[in-house]
Amino acid sequence: MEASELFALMIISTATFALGLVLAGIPFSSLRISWPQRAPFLGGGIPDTHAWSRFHVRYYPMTLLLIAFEMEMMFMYPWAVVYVAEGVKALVEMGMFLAILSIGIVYGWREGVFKWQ
Amino acid sequence: MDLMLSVIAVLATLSVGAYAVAVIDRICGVAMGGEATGGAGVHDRRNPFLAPLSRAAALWLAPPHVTEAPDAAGWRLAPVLYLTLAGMGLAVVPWSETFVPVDLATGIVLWGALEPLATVLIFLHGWSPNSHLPLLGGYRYVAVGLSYILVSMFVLIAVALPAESLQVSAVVESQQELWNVVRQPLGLPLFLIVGLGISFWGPLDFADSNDLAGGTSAESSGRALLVWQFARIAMLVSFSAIAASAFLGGWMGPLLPGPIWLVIKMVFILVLLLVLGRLLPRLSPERFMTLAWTVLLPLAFVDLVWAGLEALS
Amino acid sequence: MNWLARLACRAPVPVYPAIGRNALPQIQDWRLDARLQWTRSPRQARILLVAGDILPECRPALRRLHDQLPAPSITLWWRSTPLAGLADRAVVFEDADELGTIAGDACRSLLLGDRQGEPNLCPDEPPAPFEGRGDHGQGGEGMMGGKPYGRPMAMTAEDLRDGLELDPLEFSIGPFWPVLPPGLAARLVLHGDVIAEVEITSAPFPVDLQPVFEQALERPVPIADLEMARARNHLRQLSHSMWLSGLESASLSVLRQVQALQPHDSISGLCERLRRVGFFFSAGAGRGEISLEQAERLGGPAARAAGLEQDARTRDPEYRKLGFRPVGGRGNDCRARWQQWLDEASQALHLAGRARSSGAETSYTESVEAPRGNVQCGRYPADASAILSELLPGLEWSEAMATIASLDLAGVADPGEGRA
Repeated sequence: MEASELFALMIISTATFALGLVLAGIPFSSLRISWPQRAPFLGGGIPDTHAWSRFHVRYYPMTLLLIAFEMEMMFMYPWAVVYVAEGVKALVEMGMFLAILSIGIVYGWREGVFKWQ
Repeated sequence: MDLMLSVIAVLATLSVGAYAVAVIDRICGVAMGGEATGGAGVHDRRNPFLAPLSRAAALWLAPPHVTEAPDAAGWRLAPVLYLTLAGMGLAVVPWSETFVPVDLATGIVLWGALEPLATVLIFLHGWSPNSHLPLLGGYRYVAVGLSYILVSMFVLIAVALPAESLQVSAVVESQQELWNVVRQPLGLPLFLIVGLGISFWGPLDFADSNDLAGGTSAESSGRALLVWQFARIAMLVSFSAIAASAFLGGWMGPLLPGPIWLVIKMVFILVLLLVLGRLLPRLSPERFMTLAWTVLLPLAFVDLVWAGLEALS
Repeated sequence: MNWLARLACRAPVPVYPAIGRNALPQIQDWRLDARLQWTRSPRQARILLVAGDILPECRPALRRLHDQLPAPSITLWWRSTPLAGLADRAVVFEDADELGTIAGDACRSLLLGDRQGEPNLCPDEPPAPFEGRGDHGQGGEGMMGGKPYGRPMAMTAEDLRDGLELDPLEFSIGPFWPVLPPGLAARLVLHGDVIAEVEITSAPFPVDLQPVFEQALERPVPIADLEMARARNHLRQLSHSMWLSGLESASLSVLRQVQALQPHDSISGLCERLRRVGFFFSAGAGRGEISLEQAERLGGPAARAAGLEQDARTRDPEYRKLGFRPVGGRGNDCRARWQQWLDEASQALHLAGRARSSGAETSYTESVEAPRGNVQCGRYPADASAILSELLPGLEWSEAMATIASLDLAGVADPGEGRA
């Protein structure tokens, strides 16, 4: 049953992908576009280097906090399905889990994790 | 065949929905006094039904553009893949009691997977041209993208609790007595913010913003830009479908058939999103990140606990 | 395909503006024209509009910008002399109302193939020769050397805040970007999206003083005219800041209001709307603090917002009769300057209403308070863009752009030296 649903999902996504490709067109040869046109747009300015670089990602500490929460999300998916059957015990367990992670958010906030480092 | 009907339904909804969003956006814009309406001889340019088609035709015929040393595959595929994500998201939404294109047992998890993938594709669209302003747009957006993901997850889990299932059709059917927008009042406002984020619309438009010369679209032209804009609007349509199903009872309603009710609710959500998009200004990304983690996330916790207590009683 | 081209002709013409001297108010008025679509980047435009005189030192940048529009494209010139390479078939026009028609005709001729685009003005060669060099013929040498595909890769440098050694992005952002004041070009060094260094390479084009303020230096002029000009100026600046922070619809409605502004109009509705949607918390609010010394150099509303009581109108007894008190002192960040524009605009409208009914005229001609700052015969406000090198480092990109938009940096041109 599930396999047929996944197959249908694959067909639908392939069809949407094909629609997107048809609209986007076949990639053209880049040799036809002149070099002055290809320069990066900077309002008439000139770049010193390529844009690709080891960019300083200013929100990096926030992403570490996010990973902790992602693991919690993995736990919550099956928890949501059996919740009503399990009753208040499940609510209390999840509450404790969320409280512990909330302490993590407060710690991060005090340490300046949400500032543009 | 059922599969054929599903494919046609999804593609048609994306296309017609995108056109409808463009029309509604223009009507909202004129109503809020924020559209250019001056100039002589503009009677047909003011027609909101023709404007999206003529703009699309102008984009279709516009000459293409390539930068010096781009990641060509990434640049071409990012809009197409973004459109595919929108299609996948729309596929799990039930249209009536019997017709669901893909009745996935883990539809909620699929939506949870679409959001980070959308963030990846928006970043890829900014990275690929190898140009400075798109790069800044892509990197800046990721901070926002990672911040709204958690809010979305808690809100969707809260919606899944009374349904005892992660299947979207079960979520819709659990709203037989009372819609989730009434049962879990914090859910829909938070989910609207997620909707603005996943299609980087309005106040959360950190990727394609005005102060970056169009951000990730600064180097796009012609058909590539057309597909990117189409994909963005298609994502709005898809999101409105899942929001209508999760909070407004989906296809359920008296008198009219299921699909008509779903379309009415989708239009309602779309109008809300478009008005919010025009109304609210953009915060600085740092400020929005702080807001999302310290205000919106605790509200999402509260929403979850509320839903949990509600489901048990 | 002809039906597609004819359908595309009905769309608004995508235009990218290269703004020269004294053209900014007209560009803002053109934003209300439904036949034109003002693109944010030249890649989406078919027409390049060069409005206002371009100083000779900015002509190379204009040539680079011209070539960045995807071929085929057409350039329109309004009140400026065409570049050398385009002079023979340049489309020059004088009447501002004609732009919609001319641009529409140009775009239609491009779409239907009646006209070829313009040739490139820069030589068709890569920024640095790289063909055939390096391991794969791409110009790179070893791990981090050479110029792969024509430009070097970024090298590491210490970050200004935490000393991490990552790659800074260095580029010069040009004189023809509508987000910046017209003519402002700067060399930026970014660490991530935080600005680390700013070096101004080209100051904003000097602005001509409006005629009514010039006349006020010689003889009494009606106060209502002065104050209406001031209100219009402040509202135009505010609409640009609103556009930057994402309030496009509201910014267009403000421009529409500016066109139809009358004395005794009230902008309290606008203030209330901005407060309710949170404009005073948007990008830049709370940042962009100027010191007292910088405020002294700036003059005008920015100085008054920072607490300096400099207003030439206090020395005029006619203004005192109308009940004028200088407003200010809200703070030295962007939010204070936005609020200052709103306060001064509403005060100006109020004064204009009272002056129109009583027919009051200025009586003090030694110095005039222009929207840019204090103006005296022979002493005009100078260009203040040098403060950006001290102000911008440490600001995130959107905050920096909002800060630049909240300051009025262009100097006022001396009319004696010949006007554009």
